[in-house]
Amino acid sequence: MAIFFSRNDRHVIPNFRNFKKTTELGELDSFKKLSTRQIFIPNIIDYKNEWEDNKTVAHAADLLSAVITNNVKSDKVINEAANFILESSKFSTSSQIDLAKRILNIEDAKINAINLSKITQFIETNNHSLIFDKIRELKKSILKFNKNPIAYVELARYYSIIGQIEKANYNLQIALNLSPNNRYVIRSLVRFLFNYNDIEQAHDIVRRNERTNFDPWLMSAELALSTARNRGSKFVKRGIEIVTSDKYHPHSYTELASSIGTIELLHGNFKKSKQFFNASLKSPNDNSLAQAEWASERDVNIVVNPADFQVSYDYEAQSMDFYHKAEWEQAARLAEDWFIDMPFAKAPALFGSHIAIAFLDNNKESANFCRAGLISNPNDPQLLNNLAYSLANTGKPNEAEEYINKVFNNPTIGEVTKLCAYATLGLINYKKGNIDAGRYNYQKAIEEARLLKNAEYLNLATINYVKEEILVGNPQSGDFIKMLKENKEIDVRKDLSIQRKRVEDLFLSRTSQKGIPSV
Amino acid sequence: MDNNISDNAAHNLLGKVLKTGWTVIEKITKRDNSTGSFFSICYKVEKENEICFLKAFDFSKFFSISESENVVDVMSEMIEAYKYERDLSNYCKNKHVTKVSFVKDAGEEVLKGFTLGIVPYLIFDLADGDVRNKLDFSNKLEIAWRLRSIHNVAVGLKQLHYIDVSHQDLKPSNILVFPTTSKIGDLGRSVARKLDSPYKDSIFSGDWTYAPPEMFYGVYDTDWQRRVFATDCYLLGSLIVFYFSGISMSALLTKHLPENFTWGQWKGTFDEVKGYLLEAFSNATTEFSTSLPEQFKEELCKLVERLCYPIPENRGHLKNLTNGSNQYNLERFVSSLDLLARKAELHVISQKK
Repeated sequence: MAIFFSRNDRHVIPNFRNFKKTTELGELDSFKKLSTRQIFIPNIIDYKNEWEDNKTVAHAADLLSAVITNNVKSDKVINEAANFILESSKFSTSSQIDLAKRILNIEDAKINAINLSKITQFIETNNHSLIFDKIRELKKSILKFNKNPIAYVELARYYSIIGQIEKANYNLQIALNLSPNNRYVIRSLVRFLFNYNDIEQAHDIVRRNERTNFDPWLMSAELALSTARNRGSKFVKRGIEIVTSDKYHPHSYTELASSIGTIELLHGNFKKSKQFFNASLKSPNDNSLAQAEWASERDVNIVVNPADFQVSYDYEAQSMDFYHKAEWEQAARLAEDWFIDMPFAKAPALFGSHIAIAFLDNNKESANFCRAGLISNPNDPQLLNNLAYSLANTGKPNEAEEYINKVFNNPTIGEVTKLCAYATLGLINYKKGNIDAGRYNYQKAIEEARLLKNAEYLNLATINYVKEEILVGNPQSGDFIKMLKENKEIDVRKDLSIQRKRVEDLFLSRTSQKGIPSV
Repeated sequence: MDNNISDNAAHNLLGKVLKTGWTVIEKITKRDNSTGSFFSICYKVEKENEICFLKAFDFSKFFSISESENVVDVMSEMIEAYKYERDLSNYCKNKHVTKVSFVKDAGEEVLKGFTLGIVPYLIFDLADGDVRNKLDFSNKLEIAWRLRSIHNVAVGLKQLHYIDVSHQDLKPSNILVFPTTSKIGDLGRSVARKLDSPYKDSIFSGDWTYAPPEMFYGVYDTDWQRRVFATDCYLLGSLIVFYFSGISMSALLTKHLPENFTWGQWKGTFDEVKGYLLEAFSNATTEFSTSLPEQFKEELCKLVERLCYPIPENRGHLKNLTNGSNQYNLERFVSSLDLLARKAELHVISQKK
């Protein structure tokens, strides 16, 4: 039985993107509204005069150096110098040519980032080699210059994408040692540790950092982690001051306001919660937008339409929005984008698998999501279970068994995951023709769900069990269908209702084939 | 700027025989060279078959200053600049400073028929030009010349440091090329511990285009010596970058620094931006290395990395940093550059054979 994605809790944990994207998103900008530095007035007139008096590559490049360093707008003379370098490319260095192109806004075809658009591309071996190339490149750069904290974070990110968690952690710790107060380093490390369930260490790092006392981007992470640990935070008061002070740009406190809004929401202070979520949406990022979307499921007064905001990489919020609008195909496509944006994260893979199984009846797509998610999280029992489920349903019970055994071999497996794994094992046994073993496994799963008082999985296991009984031609199937139809708990769950309808249709098609009257 | 040249004594020295015995034979600059509120016009002069370079101070510019400027202050500034450059030359004489172009002669000329006929001037050895006229980036055989020229400059800078003078304005246009050597020119922006420089109170007196990154972010060491020598270290490294990649280190850094963190955009502190500067610096040195000949790549990259390290407290030679001596001392860099230049020269000789 597949494990469904659930978002009972969502916390504003920072994202772990590459440096370029994170910078473009403004998450590393200073939180100060104004600079206290005295800015000098650039003067490049001498460089222009000298270029006009001496038309050489060196004089042109000297002028262009002055232009870029002083951030001077281009004009006729500057463009002339840049064009001169391009026309004299045989006598110019590659740096001079690059600089001239940049000044003339000529795009270079060089692509450094790994750009994947599809999850299938990600799974293919070829992309692994791309990631390994990138790792090699970064290691080479570090070997040459080992004081760059960002390079270690980037390296860690690639290691985490391919599931080399220890190496990723090691490199992040080096980055932290090199730059203990760097926001990008801390936020990346915190997200990494949270992702791999070391919430305590993540919390300790951010809580003890001196910057957390005044940096809203770190304070928000501390609040999110303390909430995730069911603890209070000493930063709430200071956080409220920052959000309400008008001294900070709204984008710099968007996550902070979102974290405070979450705390208020969880404490049932809906009025305050709404105020803070509204503040977070003044200039949201993808994280605060997704959090507001999550909050809107819990408080009808919080109304969010992600499409109304011009937020980059807002795949999670958009995907969830389409999910709630029952637009499953769109939701799945955006889950794919969400995964590609954050390939080390488990949530988009599990969410995509959930949509594919529960709503699209597409086990192949579910398997793709799981396989992709397992690259970064190779031992994740939920993804392993869903992969086994999808494989068993697509005629590969033996392969499925290998994966489900990995779930049972995991000593940290949770109770709910365990009961789902029993049901999946039941499915595998049915598919292998071991009907009695299959029944035993399903009954065990149902019993476990009953003991845990988990109605959702009790019903889901029952639906799956009935489906297999119909497929093996159990004459009591009609009674089972009747029982499912009368179950009011299933009526209120969209995903369960769809599963039940599918089983009813299966029963109808079977009975009409055999001429048995339907219920 | 070129208005009223006919009524400008500094622009009308051509053909004159000066009181110091020099004959003005050619006007070099078509327009005024301006440095702040200080203007000069350049000529070639001749005496006893020796041709030299004359820099005439255009004091008539008092009349064209804007209303917001104080005439007395501007006059005082120009006079101080003239005096400082002249006195610094005298100070450096007999102190074994061989790789710096000093004032050879100085004087004042009074020309009749002009509103302001007084033209103070300084005379220097005539160079073939500045290094930008010499550099040919397509010619790999020039490597030996480039390395020797950089070595000459490093020696000059070290000589200045030895007598507590910091140049502060080391850049391609101030590297003068002579037939057998290169020298540092234009000490107008320098600061000296024992002389009253017009820029003694400036945190950075040189050209901001070449300034080290900490200056852009408003951070500097309060200790005079550490601050000015850290700046010179960076400027020397940046010059090496220009000699090979053809652009300055600051341009390379800016190119690799996301716009959010550039000095014009960044609103935070220098400490906060350090990590990102190091990332940009790492990429900048990688780009720099692509313009280097293979046999000198590693050494030159190391030199530039140490000289241009964007965080001034970690700048300087590693050995000096670890043994606690003056980290900005250029001695070790000079030795390394000498060795590299010798290797390159030997390579040229062996190729010729």
